[in-house]
Formats: sequence, structure tokens, C-alpha cells
Amino acid sequence: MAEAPRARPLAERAVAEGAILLMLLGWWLTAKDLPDFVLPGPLDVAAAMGALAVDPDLAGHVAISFLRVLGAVAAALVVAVALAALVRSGPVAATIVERNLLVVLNSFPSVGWAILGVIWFSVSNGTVIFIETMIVLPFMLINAIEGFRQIDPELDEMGRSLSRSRWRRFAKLQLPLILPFLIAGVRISYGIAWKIALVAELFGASSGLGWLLQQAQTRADAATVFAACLVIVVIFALVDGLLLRPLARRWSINTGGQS
Amino acid sequence: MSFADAAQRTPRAAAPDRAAARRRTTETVVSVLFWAAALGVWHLYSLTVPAYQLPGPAAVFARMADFATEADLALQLGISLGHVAAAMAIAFVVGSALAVLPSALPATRRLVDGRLTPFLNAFSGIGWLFLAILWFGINSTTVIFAVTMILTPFAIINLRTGLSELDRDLLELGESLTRSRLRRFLRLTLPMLAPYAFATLRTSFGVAWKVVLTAELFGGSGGIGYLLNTARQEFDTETIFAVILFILLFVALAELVAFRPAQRALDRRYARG
Repeated sequence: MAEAPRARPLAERAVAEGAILLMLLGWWLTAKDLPDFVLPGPLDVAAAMGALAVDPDLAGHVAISFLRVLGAVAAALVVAVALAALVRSGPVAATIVERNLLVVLNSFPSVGWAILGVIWFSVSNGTVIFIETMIVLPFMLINAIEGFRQIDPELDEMGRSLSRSRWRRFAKLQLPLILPFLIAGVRISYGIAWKIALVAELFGASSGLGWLLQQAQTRADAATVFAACLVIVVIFALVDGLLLRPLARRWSINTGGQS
Repeated sequence: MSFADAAQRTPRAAAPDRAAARRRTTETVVSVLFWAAALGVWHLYSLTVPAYQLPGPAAVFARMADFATEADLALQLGISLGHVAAAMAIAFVVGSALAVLPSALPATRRLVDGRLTPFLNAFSGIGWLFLAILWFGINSTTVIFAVTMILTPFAIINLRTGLSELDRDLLELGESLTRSRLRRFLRLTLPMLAPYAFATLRTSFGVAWKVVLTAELFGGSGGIGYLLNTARQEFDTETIFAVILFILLFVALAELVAFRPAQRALDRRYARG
């Protein structure tokens, strides 16, 4: 099936916004006849979202979740680049990292990290960041390794003839070359952190959006559950659209094949 | 595109067989030594901390052996596998439908690419889980629903990429060979999509195992995650380790016996030039 000829933009826009409006209307009509703890109406949810943005207590939960996610993505980035650089240093390190460590990290259940993190480090911000880091690490690592692999060996050789300092070669030559892969890794990890790694806050914290979701669910406060979910969608979309995607475009090596 | 497999694929052997064989031997030796060292460190370290924090490897392996002989573990693993399979199947069908929609009805492109996919992609899996608990209660429906909603955006994105990367020249050639849309779809489009469909399944499988335990722990009445929850409440760290190791073995084994050979066969079949 070929990509059919492009429809007129106006029609596309009408269908897109029309369908969203229809869904909202359908939601409103369905919610009218259902009790609030099953399906709250759009207005209740909007009110709950407003509370999350305004009420300092609730906004605090949003802020702390956001900071933890940032911390975890940054930590995972540093560890992944270090491990990926190690892969290049020789076949022994490559085997250990790629064939063993990555396989383990990749198949480790996320809830396993959550439970173990709490057992090992008890409940704290550091624990949550540890758990989230371990969950997003494999995604970051795969991208970092792939990035290093794409470096043209001849360029590397040229670098060696220009400077002896390993650090300089890394900062001036390799880092710019792997940036597109790293930013792709950051985008994926940032998404995974909000979508899956939030589980850390169900075990390892008594604050944050994950904790708030769980509390709201036990109180059967569906409006807050909805609102927390939508706040996550908004935060994700804002950072991805305003920061990560422009960065990815800017650093792409014109082909920009990585999503 | 599947980010889960890219790094694990063996680079195509360009060197002669002997060099490849030698490399494989080195890899095996290094891997074995690595695991032996890891076990040694684990054992020594476990002597210095209380058992509820880190049980030694011997205790964990003994618990694994207990489990392997009990019927219960197989049963729970079967339940989890059922959850994963159901969620993968539903997500694949829903994802394909949404991915194909803009090709069939161009007017819906903006709706799918600009609205639905980003929304589903940004929606928190933990959020779906708690919504599902509110809607369906504590049972398998909740688990399957939550996992399905997490997998669906992966399926849409993979299959949309596949559809947009289709070889235009081949499609044009097809148009000159037959008029039947159905025939072109079955004979040309479907085979060309196969690698992307496979990548979808492979990614889904990996992600599904990561999240299904969470879903079962909070919203399930059976499965490995449920088992994990009981162990957690009793501070039975040996069981937690045993369960995690079983999952690691299971997922790594599936990757090794099913996905990697299939990927290699696909790569051969679709190699260009």
C-alpha cells in the first residue's frame, strides 16, 4: 500500500481536531451517567489538573518527580557513555558489556529493581533515582554503543595523529559524532522514565506523581488519577517538543535516521 | 526500529571462518570467566551483609531448585506468559490498524501521527495500570489492559516507520503488474513489512516482560508478579532473587532460541545486493 497522495491539509486538520472533539464529547456523555469513581467527567479532571498546577503541595509532587527523572536520565547517560567507551577499548570489555551486562540489564524486570532498591537502600530520593537509572540504563546503553560503533575508524585515526590526549580526542572528536545517538537515547530514556520507571515511586518514596497515583487509586479518586496521567503527558510533551526534539534536529548528521 | 536488538546483533562475519571461530572462543571464555567472577564477588559480599539484604548464591540456587520441582512456579509462569501473549497480540492488531489507517484514509494522517500516537506514547504505563484497577478490579483483564496500552505505541511507531520506508519503485512496479489492490497488498506490501512486524514483536516482548510483573504485582491475582509481591511482604529475599533470575533466564533464552535466529533468517532473506 503506497503512501497515498497527501490529502489537503485543511481536511487533515478537520479530521484530527474533529475526532478529538468527538472523543471529548463521547467522554463527557459517558461520564455523565457513570459514578465519579469509575469515570469522572472532563470538567472534574480539568479541575483536578488545575489543583496539581496550583496547590503547592500537589505541585511539589510534580516537581520532585520531574527532578528525579532528570537525575536518573543524567546518571544513566554518564554510566552508558562510560560503558560504551569501555566497549571500544578491547574485545574482552566488549564481550563483558555487550554480551553479558547488556543482556542482563535488558531482561531485568523493572519491578525487580524497585523491590531490591528499597531492600538495599531503604526509602529515599537516592533510592528512587537509583531504581529509575537502572531501568532506563539499557535503553541508553544500546544507543551509546551503537553511536560509538558508527564512528568512522579513519576519523579516529586522524584524531590520534592530531592529539595524544585521550580526553581531548573524546571531547573534540568522538563526543560530537555520537551526540545524535545520545540524544536519541535521552529521548527514549526520558519517555521510559515517565512511563515505566515511575514504578520506583510506588515503592521507594512517599512523594511524587507515582505515589500520588497510588494514593488516589486507593481512595478511588479517579479524577486525580486521570489528572496525574494527563499532567505526565503534558510534561513529557513539553520537554520532548521544546527541548529534546530541537536538540535532536540540531545535532543530527543530516540523515537523522534515528527516531 | 527496534532499539532493543540493535546492539545485540552479531556483526556480519566478513573475516574468514577461522578468525570468527577464534573470536567466538574468546567470547565464550571471557563470558564464563566474567560470570565466575561475578558469582565469587556475590558470594563474598553476601557473607558481610544480612541475608535479608543479599542472600548468597548458594541459597538462591537452592530456592530456584525448589521452585523448579514445584508445579506452582510453572503455573505462575504460564499465567504471566498468557498475559504477555494476550497483550502482545492485542497491541499488534490495534497498532497495525492505527498504522495502516492513514495509508487507507489520507485525511486521518494528522489524527494518527500528530494526535493519537504522541498521546499514547506519552501516557504513563503506571497511569494505565491504576486506571485499569479502578475500572476492572484486581484480575487478569487489568494486567492485560495495562500491558497492551504500554505496547500499542511501540507497535504503531514501528509499523508506521515500516510503511513509510516501503520501496516506492517496487510498489510502482507492482502497480504495473496487477490492478488488484488486495493482490498487491498481500504479495508486495506484507512481505516488505515483515522485518518491521518482527521488530515490533521483538521490542514488545522485551518491554512486556519488563512491565508485566509490575502490573501483576499491583493489579493481578496470579502470575510471577503476584508471587513476587508475597515474597516482598515476607522479606523473603531469596525468593525475590530466585524469581528475578528465572525471569532473566527465560527472557535471555527466548532471545537466544527464538528471536535471534529468526532475526538472522530475516536479515538473510532481506539483505540487499
